[in-house]
Amino acid sequence: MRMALGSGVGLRPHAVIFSAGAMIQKVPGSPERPRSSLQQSDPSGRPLLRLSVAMLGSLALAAVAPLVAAEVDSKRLEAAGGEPSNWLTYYGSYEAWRYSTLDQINRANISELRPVWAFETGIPDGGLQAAPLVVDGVMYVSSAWNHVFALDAATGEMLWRYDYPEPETIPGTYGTWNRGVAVAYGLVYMGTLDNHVVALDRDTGEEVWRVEVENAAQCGCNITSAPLVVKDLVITGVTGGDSAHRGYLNAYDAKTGRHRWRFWTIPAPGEPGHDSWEGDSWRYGGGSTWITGTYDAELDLLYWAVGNPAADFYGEDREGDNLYTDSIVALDPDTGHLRWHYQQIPHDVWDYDSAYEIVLLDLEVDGEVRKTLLNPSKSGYVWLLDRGSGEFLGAWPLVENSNWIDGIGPSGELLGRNEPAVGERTFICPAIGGGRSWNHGAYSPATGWFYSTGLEWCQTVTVRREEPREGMPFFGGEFEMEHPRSGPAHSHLSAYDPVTGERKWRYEHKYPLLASQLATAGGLVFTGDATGRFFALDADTGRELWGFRTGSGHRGSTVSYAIDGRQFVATPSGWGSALAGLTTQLWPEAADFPSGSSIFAFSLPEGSE
Amino acid sequence: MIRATAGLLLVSSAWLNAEAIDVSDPGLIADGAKHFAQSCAVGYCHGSEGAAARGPALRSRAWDPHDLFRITAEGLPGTSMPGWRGVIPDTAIWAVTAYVLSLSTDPPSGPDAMITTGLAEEPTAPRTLSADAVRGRDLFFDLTRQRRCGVCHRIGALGTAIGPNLALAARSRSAEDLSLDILDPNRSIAFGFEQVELRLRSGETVRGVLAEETEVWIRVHDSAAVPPPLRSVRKADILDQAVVERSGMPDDLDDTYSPGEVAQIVAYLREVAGEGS
Repeated sequence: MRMALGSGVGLRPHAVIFSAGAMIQKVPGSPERPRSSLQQSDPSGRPLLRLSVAMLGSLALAAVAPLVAAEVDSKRLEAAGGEPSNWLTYYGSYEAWRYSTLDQINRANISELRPVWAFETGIPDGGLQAAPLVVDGVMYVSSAWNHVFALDAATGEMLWRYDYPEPETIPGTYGTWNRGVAVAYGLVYMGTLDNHVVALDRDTGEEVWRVEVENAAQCGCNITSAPLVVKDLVITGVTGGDSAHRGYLNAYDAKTGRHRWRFWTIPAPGEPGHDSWEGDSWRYGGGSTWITGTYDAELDLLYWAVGNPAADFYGEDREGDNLYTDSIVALDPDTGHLRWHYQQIPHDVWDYDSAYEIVLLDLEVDGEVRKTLLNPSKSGYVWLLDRGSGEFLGAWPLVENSNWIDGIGPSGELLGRNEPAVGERTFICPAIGGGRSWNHGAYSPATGWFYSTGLEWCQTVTVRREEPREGMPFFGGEFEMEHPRSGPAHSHLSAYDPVTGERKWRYEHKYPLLASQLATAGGLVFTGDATGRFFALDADTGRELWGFRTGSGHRGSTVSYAIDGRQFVATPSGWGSALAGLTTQLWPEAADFPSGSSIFAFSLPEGSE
Repeated sequence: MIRATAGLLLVSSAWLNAEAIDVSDPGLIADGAKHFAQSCAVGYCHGSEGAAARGPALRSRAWDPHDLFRITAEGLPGTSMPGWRGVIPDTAIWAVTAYVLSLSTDPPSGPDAMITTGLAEEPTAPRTLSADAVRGRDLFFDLTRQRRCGVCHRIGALGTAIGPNLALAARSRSAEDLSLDILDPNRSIAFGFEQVELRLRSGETVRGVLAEETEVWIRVHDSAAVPPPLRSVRKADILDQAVVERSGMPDDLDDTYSPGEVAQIVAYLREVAGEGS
């Protein structure tokens, strides 16, 4: 990653803006901000006149921006990892490392880290689960109920907001939260709580196009994940895996919203894989695509992880492997055609989606450097595949409390399946919330380790046969959260060797850690907890170095960026989600954890090191 | 969905005609427990037996029966709590109410358990469609087909109102007219559903049914794709515009539906004619 510094599109060479006595180390490759030209400095380097973009209005931004940064297009997106001043995509880059090469904030000075600004969305219902994007000095963040805010990333000042009209029908099962937007071609893209995709003018927030993916009143599904832009397409997944619904992935022309292709996650009659479904079960078999996938430009493969089959717990009406649920699919991004698939859990009866992030890593496996992908699953296991072919390279556990299988064999086969019996109460670990939640881990090329949470919790499942009702909940059973037999439920954040799963260190936490990790070249791993503490650990040792209370629990994705040579770390704060509610079954006091919806940005004080 | 609703009616049939019900009745509570398990406990919402999940805990609390019924029936606007009226029958909502009351700190008993429901004496019987019309309805809304009538036409609570209201249109059109409307959409275009063609400064031409026009914007349902995206075009970006006497509807639906299927869709439209007006 480092070697790409300064070579990315839109980057400029160093520019000293904090002169005499200003001790902040200049961040390499930091792009000049549009409004820098509007600032005047006194001899101490402090801005005398700071005309904000908001004051000048969005037209000024539109007029100035092209002079300093190229439009976000596929070239910039493919090289996003080389633009540490920005956070251009949901995961920071297509590699999905959630890693920043910025090191101005580091182990040595993190005790000086201070909040610089906070922005309150005013929409606490559903918390704040997004990963903010930062593009050339402007932050774009979506809240629950599909509000989008463009902020001056240096000050938190709002430049514009977009309020999606409250829909007539909201599929209740999947919540009203939103996990982020995508930015490209002068537009901001968002999936909606009633299963539309909207594109907004990046400079003004005005709606440019809107398309319905599928009628939400009928499918009972919606979009909560951030879209992914690949080439000239905006690609979006869908929820619906716990409903009587057939899942898919859709691609739209990024400029017009015209539909380009759909990949059904469940093959239709006559298609390969269809015979892995019994009778008509394929029509209502789930297979959602509810977390953002990723793309390898060199192999020209789009990767997406597919969720569980429905009914979640009752599998006797869908005998067979149930392709392509609980699978990684690799698609031709131009056509949506399947290139290969790898199914992790054939015939899932535990609701263990493979829906989470797909991390692209070139790793030495058995003495040979392989192009791999790493995918943590709700089952509490991490799978490692060859990303060119889908070949199984290994799997390792994130959690100790796991009894759904005895283990995973050398060819990826599941050993000793513990399937809950129909009509009985079966104790299963991990719980439905997952051995890990969807919030994403981070990979640091500096340590070579993958950082991820693990959730030690269990449940009692009661399986029941259900008739599918189109678009309605289709769980096929119920569950109650339980503490593990080994002791109280808890969680941990650990560093792992991505190939062997060897644990390098472990940070224990009383409550489930449900926010994403951010790793940085400053030797830090950032995350937040349910009580509202945002904190940083030493990436080498797991030792806690710094913390700050943001007031509400953490469920979103922290990002880092730089403006005028100053590194920022920004985190969403806002409890309230499916799992936030579930936690109250094990920790009654969690019912009093306050909801919220704000962004906190941190930086070192000007003049410090 | 409609079939399932009819099934639920049967489950709850014992409680029809009940203007006053006994919410402590074990049969009613058991009926409510079934509905609760499938539609309310469901995974991430209220949890098994109301133990709490994303939605609040419902057990071990105190409730007013009418408040509980109203919230269940109408939902809570501005939250994820949907209204269940129209999805399951009101009688089933009362059964759910009775079940949740049974979980409360002080479940009603004796005379306190007799609740005036205010329900109509006889719920409207579900409409019965002919077998052809049922098949036609399934084709109209078949989500396994990316091209289907429901993408652009709404009937009742389903589908999307981009094109004309066909339940209304079917009132004044013969079965033969309706078949031709489907297969040859340019033969006659419903009033107000002509397309506008916008030639933009960017060189692009956008053609679609007009959705909205303001001083600054023209919004059209771009007919170049299915589903049609709603495009917002600044008037300042338009070189010229014209009304085009071509339907926005695809003119190759004979590739999507066989003649027999078209007849079934027409049967459906004829039987629902007049609804939604």
